[in-house]
Amino acid sequence: MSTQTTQKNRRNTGPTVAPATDIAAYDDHYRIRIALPGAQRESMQVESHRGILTVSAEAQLAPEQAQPLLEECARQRWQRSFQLSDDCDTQQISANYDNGILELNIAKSAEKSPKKIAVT
Amino acid sequence: MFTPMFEIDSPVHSLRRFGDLARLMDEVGHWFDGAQEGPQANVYVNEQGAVVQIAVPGYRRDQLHVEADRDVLIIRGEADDSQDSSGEDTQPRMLRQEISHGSFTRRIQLPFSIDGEHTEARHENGILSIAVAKPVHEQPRRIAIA
Repeated sequence: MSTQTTQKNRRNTGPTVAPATDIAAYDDHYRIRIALPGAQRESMQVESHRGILTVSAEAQLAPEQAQPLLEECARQRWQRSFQLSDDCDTQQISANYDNGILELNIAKSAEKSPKKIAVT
Repeated sequence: MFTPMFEIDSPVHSLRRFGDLARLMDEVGHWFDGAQEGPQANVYVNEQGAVVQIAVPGYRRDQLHVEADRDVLIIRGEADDSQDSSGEDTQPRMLRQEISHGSFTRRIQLPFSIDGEHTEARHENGILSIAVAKPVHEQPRRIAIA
């Protein structure tokens, strides 16, 4: 294995993995916390489509001009999708990234009573 | 561990050897301290010493401690006292809990003795990044030819 090949491989991103997630249910909202340590903001994407929430991000931590002895989390690519339950109000989703955690807060819709349909 | 392909004096061989040692020492230290699963780490070496990165998302700065003991870097993390650190009164129902919030100890063996005075640690975006300094007399020095 030549040094050239090794250097090139170092720059590639690793496999896509699902990030560790905590989901908490409160009375009026859900709080989803996703661990994305060292993620680059430009690479972070949160998408809500047809009841499915998808989160993706990337991290490149390897410093220049240094030889690796151990690399467990140097080149990360994350992606995970969540099926939102019926009581989620997809119009009210907020996202905040702090201390390596992406926190999503999804409001629950107001309780809808069954809709009665008149028969003519 | 010993790779006969590389020359004994070549830097690649030395790094390979120390790399194996670093991994082995770390796994042994890890096992003895009783932590279930430690946070992930990266270790790089350069002329000034080493760069150690530990992924600790969700831990506050005051919950993290870094020590240097000869050639071993020790990183400790404290668990959260409360389940929910957001300060809310109502405890939520946890539907899923995968992020580690417990205490941990991670020992990283380095191929040089650590100059603790010149070692710096930064905590950003859930990554604890430590620039470990090698004593000046151990750093490569260019010798001029008169």
